[in-house]
Amino acid sequence: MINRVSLLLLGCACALVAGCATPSRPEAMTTSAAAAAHKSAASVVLEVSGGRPTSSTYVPQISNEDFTVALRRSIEQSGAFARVATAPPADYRLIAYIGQLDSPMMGMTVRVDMEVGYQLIEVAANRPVWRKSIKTQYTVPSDKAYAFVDRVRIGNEAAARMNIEQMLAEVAALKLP
Amino acid sequence: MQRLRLWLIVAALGALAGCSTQSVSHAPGAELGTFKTFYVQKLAADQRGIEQLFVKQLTAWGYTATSGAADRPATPVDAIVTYQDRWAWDITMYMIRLNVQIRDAQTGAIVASAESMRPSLERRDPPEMVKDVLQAALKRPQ
Repeated sequence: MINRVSLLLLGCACALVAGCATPSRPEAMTTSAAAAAHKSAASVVLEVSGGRPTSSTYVPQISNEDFTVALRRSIEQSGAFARVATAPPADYRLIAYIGQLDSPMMGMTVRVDMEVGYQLIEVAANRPVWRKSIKTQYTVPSDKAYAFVDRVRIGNEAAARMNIEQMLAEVAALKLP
Repeated sequence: MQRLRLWLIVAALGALAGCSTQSVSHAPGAELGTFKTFYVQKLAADQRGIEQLFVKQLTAWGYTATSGAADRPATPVDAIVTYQDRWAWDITMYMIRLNVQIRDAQTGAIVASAESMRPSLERRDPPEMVKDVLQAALKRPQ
């Protein structure tokens, strides 16, 4: 009886250690889609808010810092802007507000819903040239990863990557100088 | 051996208990003070009438609030409220997590977002969870 209780407790302890949430990785959120349809000669500075750091005992999140890195790398790879500045001054400000990142608390198949509100502001004129809220959704099948928290992280990363892809396509369509 | 067992018990209890968390964020330049009328969009999967709890709380604070299943209200409002409720089982069903988004009705963009998560040992009734997230999202005094 005591051995069984010990085994159960050991199982719980192992689950606690194995199931620690890890943050979404910038490299997995970076889109490597085709080059932008239109490449602006301007520079842009990024301002991200609404993200959250990941607590090891809670479900994975996306932090402002990691989403900023993913945005920067995606813009650089696509060539949508000539330069991504790490601080002002820049020709444009791209403001991204992560308003929603929703996933279940448990389950086999994990569906992640993400919504990011973007604003692109022309700094010289101090006027918004584009504003849009982009929603993306990704469902992670149960066989994608063993641990639930890993499936949530994979879902977060895919939803973020798709979101950035859509943003880049819309910004390219603006044909900024 | 006894010490190992004690450690395992503590670890197992820690895994089951967890801690309550609350988070809130606001979009840059969000002006929540101008919102006087709200429409709560009922979540399609919600069979518990949580949207009515939002309406009741907003009305108690003096706002005009309505709800419905449609994306948009029949009459214009200042803001739209969307939410996601998550439930868990521990002796009884309880609301473990509630997320809310306040949207500008003109643009549909999220201007404020809040979350309250309360594991079993720190569970609260749904009306209190609703009050918590709305209070944080709308920057209302405690």
